[in-house]
Parts: sequence; C-alpha cells; structure tokens
Amino acid sequence: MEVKIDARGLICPKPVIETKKALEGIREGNIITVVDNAVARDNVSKLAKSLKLHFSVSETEGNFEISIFKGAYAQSVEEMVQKRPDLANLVILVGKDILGDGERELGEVLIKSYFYALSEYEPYPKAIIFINSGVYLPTSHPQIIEYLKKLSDMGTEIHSCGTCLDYYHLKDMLQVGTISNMYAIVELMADANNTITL
Amino acid sequence: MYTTYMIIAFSSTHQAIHFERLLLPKYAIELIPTPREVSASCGLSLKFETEDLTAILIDLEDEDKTGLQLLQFVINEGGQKIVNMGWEA
Repeated sequence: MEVKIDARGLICPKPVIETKKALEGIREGNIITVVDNAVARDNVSKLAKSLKLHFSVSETEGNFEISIFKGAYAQSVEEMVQKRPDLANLVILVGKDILGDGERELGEVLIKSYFYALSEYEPYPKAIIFINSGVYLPTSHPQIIEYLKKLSDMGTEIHSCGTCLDYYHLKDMLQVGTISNMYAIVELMADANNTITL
Repeated sequence: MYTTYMIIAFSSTHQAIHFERLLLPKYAIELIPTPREVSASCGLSLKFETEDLTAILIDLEDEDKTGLQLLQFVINEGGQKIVNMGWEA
C-alpha cells in the first residue's frame, strides 16, 4: 500500500502530524510525504527515525519527498531472521557465468546486477557455490569479485568447485573464497534450509 | 560526514550497455540495478564517483540522453537524499 501526502504549504508541525496519522492508518506499506522546505523535511525524517522506520529523502525542483516504509519493509534483519530462520541459511548454486538463458551480452549484465543486489541485501546467504563455468566469476570477473569479497567479509562462504577450476585452468586465479570438492558441496546443500540454483 | 555518488538511470537496456562500453575503459563505473527509490525504467543504472561527473558529461556530450535521469545520492547518518540533476523528457 502506498499513500502520498501533499504537505506543501502546510505550517509546522502539520506535515509531521499528517505523516504520523497516515502511518498509524496503515499496517504496512509506504507513506510518501511531499514538503516544500528543509525544516519540514528534517522534522518528518526525525519522526521516521524516532519510530525506527526505514526512510529515504529525495529532492526535485525545490520539493522534498520523504518516503517511509512500514511493516514487512521496515523489519530489521534480526527480526526477519527470527521469524524466518531459513532466510539466513540460504545456499546459492551458480552453475554458469551468466544469468538466465538467452543473449550472452544480457546474461553478463544480469549476473553482474544480481551479485551487486545480493551484496546489498540482508540477510546475506550462508554460502555461494560456483560450479562448471560459474567458476569464471570468482576468478576472472573484477566487478563480481568485489561483490563476492564484500559478501565474504559479511560472513558468506564462497566455494568454488575444484574439478571445475582445474578443467578451465583457473585454479591459480581464484580471487575470493575457497576451493571445495563435491562432498563439501553436497553437504552444504543438504544442510541448507533453502537452495537456489542459478 | 557524508558520502556521495552519481547515478545515470536508463530507460533502455541497450543504451545502458552502450554507455557502459563507452565509459568503462576510462572511469571506475559500475552497471547496477536501478535503486528502488528511483522511478522504474529498464532497471539498469550506471554508478560512478561524483568527482568524475564533469569529465563524464563531456564524454557524453554527443550522446542521446532522452529518457535518462542523472541523480546524485547523498548519504549521511540521517539516511539518504536523492538530488535530481537533469535530463529526462
């Protein structure tokens, strides 16, 4: 649910009151308040902060839009994981170096986008496993290696299939994570609450 | 304390790939999924450092920028602010 409040021209503390009313009126969703001055922007932002809700501010032609998220959107990662422990025990199996089938050029763009978004999205997966031509990503793709390093720093295990690295002569080029064998890979997937295959 | 970066949001995937090819050899750019706060387009954006903006604008002078959005993200403790810097239409 999305509610837009036009609070331009309203005198303080009216924008805050209107935003608060709208937030109380919905269980979950997005409240967007438009204001025309920096004081109102700061006050509405402060309201979101005091309610511990996620928000973002954008500016167009002298107006400010404060977008506040409530409900499922606004849960903290800890709360999410508490409710759904399976979210934190996700294993992703990457079987090729592009995302989806179709034009290779597009597949390369998509796999890059995927790992960027994955590195921005909490909770982070438990492990990512690269097999077959997927091993090109942690060895030869500078941008994706950066995203994988970030994930690795956050605790995600990065595994690359040794047989595959050997087959493609990439064994010396691994930039992030460890070399694993099929037993370790089977074990990881068996223990996972959720496995996604790309 | 705050950090900033720039985003060009594309309305065409082909154009996004074309711009990436054009700029990648010269600048530290990233082709990323368009941030959710930015209005939906083809879903791809180029992200780059604010300090490269002037040089990139010169390089893009002859390119068709119809439908593109140029945005600056400002991030501080209070959250993030998105400043619309032009193009589109």
